[in-house]
Amino acid sequence: MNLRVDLILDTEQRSASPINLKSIIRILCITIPLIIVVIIGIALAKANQSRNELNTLETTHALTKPKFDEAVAMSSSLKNYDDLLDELESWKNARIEWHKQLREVQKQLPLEMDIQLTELEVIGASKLIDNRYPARVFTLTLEGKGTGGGAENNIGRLMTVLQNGEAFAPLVESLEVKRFDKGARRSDRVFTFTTTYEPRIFK
Amino acid sequence: MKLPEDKKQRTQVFIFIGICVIGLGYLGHIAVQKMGSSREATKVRKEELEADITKWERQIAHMPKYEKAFEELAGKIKALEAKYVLKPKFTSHILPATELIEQAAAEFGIEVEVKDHGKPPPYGKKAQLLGYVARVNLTAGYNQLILLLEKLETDNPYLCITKINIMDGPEDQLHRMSFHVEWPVWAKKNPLKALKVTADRPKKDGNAK
Repeated sequence: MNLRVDLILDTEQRSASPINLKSIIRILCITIPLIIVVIIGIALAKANQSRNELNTLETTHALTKPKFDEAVAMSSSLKNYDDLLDELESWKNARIEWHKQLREVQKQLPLEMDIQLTELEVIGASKLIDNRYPARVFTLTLEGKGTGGGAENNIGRLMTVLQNGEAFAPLVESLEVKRFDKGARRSDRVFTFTTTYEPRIFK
Repeated sequence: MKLPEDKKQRTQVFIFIGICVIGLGYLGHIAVQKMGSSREATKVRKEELEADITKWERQIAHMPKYEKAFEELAGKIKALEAKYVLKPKFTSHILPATELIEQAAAEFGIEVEVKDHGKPPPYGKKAQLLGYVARVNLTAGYNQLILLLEKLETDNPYLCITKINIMDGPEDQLHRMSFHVEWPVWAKKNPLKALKVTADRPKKDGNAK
């Protein structure tokens, strides 16, 4: 017959293991929630810091906006002024100084040439070049007669000068002879020719 | 606090604690995730704001340059418009036009008749300047006409002689003539006044710089 006597109570039993499971559970019960709380705390702090930074940026943003709007308005006004000045300056370019042209015409008609103008007409018209650029196009029409034996040559020379002369060549595009007939006498010639000038663009 | 001595009860306590820890962990996970997504949204917003501010500050930094350029341009335009843009007198342009032409013609002893010839269509869709044309009739010599045109064209490099007609006159040296003079005039109101408001605003607010 065997007899078993428990000399130690359950609560008094001790584990032979170097690590006590109960202690580990106890430690874990404290550390895990603590770690979670710390993580949440850090996340909250970061979120708070981020929100503060955002608020600061929002304030700076709100303060900068009116200044930026002013700068944009100023820049746009500047562009308007620039355009206005360009437009005004374009008027300078879109003309021909007719006093110079008339003086040159006069120079080309010395008395000894026996050419008399009966009519001189300048007409300026507005035209859109390349469907984009507004311009003025001028024509100069000279009507007259040449007398004497050299009339034909003199008129021919006048035509050449009006196309290729120093004062005309940079401005003139073409010359069209509209009339070149005999005059009252056999050697006399009557003429009408129109000089078309290069378009004067508003630019 | 002591754990219950009963093994069953102790196990129940451990299970309860375990559930609490898991629950707490889960809640923590959700909270961190939510904060993470909120932080992501905050980060995106911050980047947007920073980009805006950087761009704006770059533009604002140009303000002194703009102001200087603006003042220079305004001065230039004002000076030009004061001298060369024909301004109406009592809402009419013919009065100042007649005055200018008669004054110039008088220098060369020419009598002129000046008539209103209206405004041609604008040169360009967005034109802020229109033309105003006056027709001038006179009987004078060819040289006198050249001198008169020279005076007008030199005094105002922006006006344009758009038409000239010279025909035989009553005497050999006198011809019947007419010509059109076109001045620049403001298309609507003086745009300098409208733009001035924008130019002055930053100074009044003190936000210019």
